[in-house]
Amino acid sequence: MNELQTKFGKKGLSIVGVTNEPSSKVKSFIDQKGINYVIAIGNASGYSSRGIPASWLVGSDGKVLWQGHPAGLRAEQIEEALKSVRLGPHFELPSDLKKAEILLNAKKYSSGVKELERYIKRPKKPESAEKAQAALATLRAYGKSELELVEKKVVEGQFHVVLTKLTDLEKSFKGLETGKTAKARLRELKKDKELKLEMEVAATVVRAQLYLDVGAKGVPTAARMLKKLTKQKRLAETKMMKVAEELLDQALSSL
Amino acid sequence: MRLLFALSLATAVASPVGLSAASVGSPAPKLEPTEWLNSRDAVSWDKLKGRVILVEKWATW
Repeated sequence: MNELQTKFGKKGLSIVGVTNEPSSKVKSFIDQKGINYVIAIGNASGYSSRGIPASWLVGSDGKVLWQGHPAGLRAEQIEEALKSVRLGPHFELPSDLKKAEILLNAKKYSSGVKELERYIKRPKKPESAEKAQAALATLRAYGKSELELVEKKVVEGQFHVVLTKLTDLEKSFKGLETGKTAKARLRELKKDKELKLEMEVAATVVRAQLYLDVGAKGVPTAARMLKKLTKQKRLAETKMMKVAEELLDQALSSL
Repeated sequence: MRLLFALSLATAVASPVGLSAASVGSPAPKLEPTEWLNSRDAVSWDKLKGRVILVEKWATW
């Protein structure tokens, strides 16, 4: 379980262990074993099983995808489920803001914000207007934290993450402050003398990753792209080349 | 009235646990534990919405 949480946590998996044992006992067990996922103390009501351990995989739509003994869960099932995860804040708004809620949860932030602002201008209910304001604040805070994360990744040399995040932000926050900042930063990084090489490698890494995500069919194409990339001497000094080489190894080993 | 009827029908066809049984294809029952342990930020079932969740009934023994 620890391994699964490490591998898939950032991609949107949350493991929740449920037990009705006393929390003091569980706490010391967590420390002892170095458990890295969340534990819920209480009855797993609704989750009936013949014995323990028993597990349920719940998709991003809140529906049960699989149930059984944890040993029977394959990593591919988790990967498949993660494809529909769209990380970001989750909004729950009153019924007169349903349209905004749907747009925001679909990451269509520009249209969602327009809806919220329109409502705030002519509010039907003051409490809904407050909720709309709060949603705007949540969104701004989310955009800000994402941009901060990007800068951290720049320092760490994880330019494939930088590229993916900025492109994503530019698209989902199109026309909004966050989207404009992301767009400008992307342009800046691609122009910078040293960083533009990093970004060049990152672009191929991101594309190769897309092919790898397709599964067995995409692997040869990804491997070919990465091989070609790793042969380019002018890019050899970049930090991103290590990432590219690792990805190539991964692709070759699954060929 | 119609809702009541739908509810009773659903209970009739569901497993003995009733409406909230976690089975493949049905909505996962909300977990409302007395305490969440081992997380940096405050957790709740609602906060996990949109993520993939692996619920595991588990014991220290």
